[in-house]
Amino acid sequence: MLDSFLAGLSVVLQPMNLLILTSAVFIGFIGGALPGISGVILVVILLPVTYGMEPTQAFMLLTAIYGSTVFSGLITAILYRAPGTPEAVMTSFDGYPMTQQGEAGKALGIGILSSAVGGLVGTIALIVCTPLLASVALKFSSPEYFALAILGLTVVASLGGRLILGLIGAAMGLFIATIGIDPLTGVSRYTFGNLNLSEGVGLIPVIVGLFAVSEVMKRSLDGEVHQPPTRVKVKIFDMPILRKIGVTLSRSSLLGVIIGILPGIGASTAAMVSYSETVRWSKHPEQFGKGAAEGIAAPESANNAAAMGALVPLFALGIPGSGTTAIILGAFIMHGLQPGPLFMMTSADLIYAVFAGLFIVNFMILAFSKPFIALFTRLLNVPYSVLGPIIIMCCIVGTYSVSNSMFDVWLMLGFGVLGYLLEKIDFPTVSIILGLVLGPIAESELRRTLSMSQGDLSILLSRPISATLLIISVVLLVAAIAVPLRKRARIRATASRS
Amino acid sequence: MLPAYRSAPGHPIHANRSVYPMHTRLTLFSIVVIVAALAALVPTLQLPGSADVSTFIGPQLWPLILLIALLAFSSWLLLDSRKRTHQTCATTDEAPSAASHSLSLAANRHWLMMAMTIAYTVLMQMIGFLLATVIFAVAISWLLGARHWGLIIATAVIAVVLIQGVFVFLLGIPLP
Repeated sequence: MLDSFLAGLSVVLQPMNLLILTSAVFIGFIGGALPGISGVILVVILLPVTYGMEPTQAFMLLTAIYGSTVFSGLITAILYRAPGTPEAVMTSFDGYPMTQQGEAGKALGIGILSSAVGGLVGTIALIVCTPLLASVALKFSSPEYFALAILGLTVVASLGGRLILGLIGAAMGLFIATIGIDPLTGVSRYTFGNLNLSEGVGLIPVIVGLFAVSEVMKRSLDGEVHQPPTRVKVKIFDMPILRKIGVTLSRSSLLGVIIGILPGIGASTAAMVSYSETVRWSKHPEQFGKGAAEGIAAPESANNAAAMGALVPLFALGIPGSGTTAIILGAFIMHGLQPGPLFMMTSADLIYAVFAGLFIVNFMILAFSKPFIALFTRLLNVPYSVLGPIIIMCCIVGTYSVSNSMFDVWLMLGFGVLGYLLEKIDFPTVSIILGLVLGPIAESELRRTLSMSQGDLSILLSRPISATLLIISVVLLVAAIAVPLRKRARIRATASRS
Repeated sequence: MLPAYRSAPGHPIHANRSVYPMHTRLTLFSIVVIVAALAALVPTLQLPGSADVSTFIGPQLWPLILLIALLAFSSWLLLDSRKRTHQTCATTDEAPSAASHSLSLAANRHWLMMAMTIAYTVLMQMIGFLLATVIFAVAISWLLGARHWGLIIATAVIAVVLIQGVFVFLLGIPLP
């Protein structure tokens, strides 16, 4: 493992790859900072661009953007109480009060250090746990892979909003994935004689349309509002503060890794759980919400650790641990690669280069965050009338460039309108991507499973691993239904009492 | 983690700007899904079943399961939305609709932008990428609120240089 990691490190340290990583970190920083562009949208826009790159460089770029975006959400959370990403919501609870007290630089310093520590712990866990989990998964057969796909689909439970909408989205994605020639029989499904649909609906038109185009449509309704410029002096290494948050950093990073590895829970939950645990263990719980240093350290170390943890099931099992990793899985498929236990054996060079890249990214965050924050206030003032047209053009040209197909461009625009309309009902659009990505695996493995058992579905429950995975899926879904019901019942009981 | 569908700093989300309440929108959505799923059943039932192909399970079973699931989920959503609509109607009066606002340019800017994007896609194939891009960048910048000609021209120049630079010169990808 160490040899492979060192080999990966030597790949990353090549000048061109270092340049790619540096660019990725800055792109990721911008993802959390510029109005109207989130990290996911940047990953989506860059997906077609990476198509022309070597797979190693492409995935170093995409995963580094993913890693640095989780960090950059804290900047606006601390300075403006407007979390740049959902993972940074808890950071604003104590970060913004510190800014109000004139300690924005100190708060940002704690956040940066905590993010880097959490990210490093998460990356080490990724390097250690992925091969272990993949070696277990090598024993998997069709029933286990089908159960894994179902477990991957339970991520819809963590996407926020109403579960029923997530289930509809996943079913829609699974159905869209059936369009094209059936790989097992060669029968055309839903192509209606259109040759462009023979190979199915491409991931790029769907992802770019649902995420980037719909976002530009939504943002085009907003006026040009700018934040007032803020000048801060960031101090990252402050020994008294480090002593104060040391225990919190260790506990929250470990918690984040564990929560991140579990499919369907995600970095936002990791941040919330670690924050509440820190309050529970603190000798001064009354200081939280008023500018406590541990209140920034806990969520920031946990969410960065969880973001790395979410990559473990992606690389080891081929199932996404979160919405963004579902898009990264789509990128692997687009490059003709299928993450999973065999992928660990056949593409170890690529995987360890990506791991080494993520390892380096955490140090880059430490090094580049200070100058970036200095530039940040200026970036906030880039008007959307400049960004909007550029994003749309990148979407069109990027989608076209994947297979030189104008049909894909029209498909992308159609999905853009669909994405915009779905946002009107707070629809978790990423559930469609989950279904689209996991659909081919789920269908082919179910059909192989039924062939193995001569049509007997009980095979799924008679094999211990597939049974366990299916039970976990059911538990996760039942929990997603039961928790809000219990909350509602409690609110009703409180209301009736008062 | 879940992508950040959020308001950027200082930019309010307009999710509920529509004159229609959420329950009405959800009801409409569930009806559309039910109709689409029923329509998709027609070609699905024409696909070969297990008895018609050499494999143990035919290409019909999986999409059929998905369509039944879609029908079940959307019917559940429809019933739930109707129930909530009745509860809301019983407790509150609907606010008057903002009809005049919905007809203004600002309220329809996103649809105009989409129409311009479609026009750009068509124009690109007729007059070439470069000229179409310049026209599109100028038009969209203006639509999105830019009124300073320096900024509008800068947007067009940045767009052309960025796309030509990245896609053509750096990655060697042909443009539409």
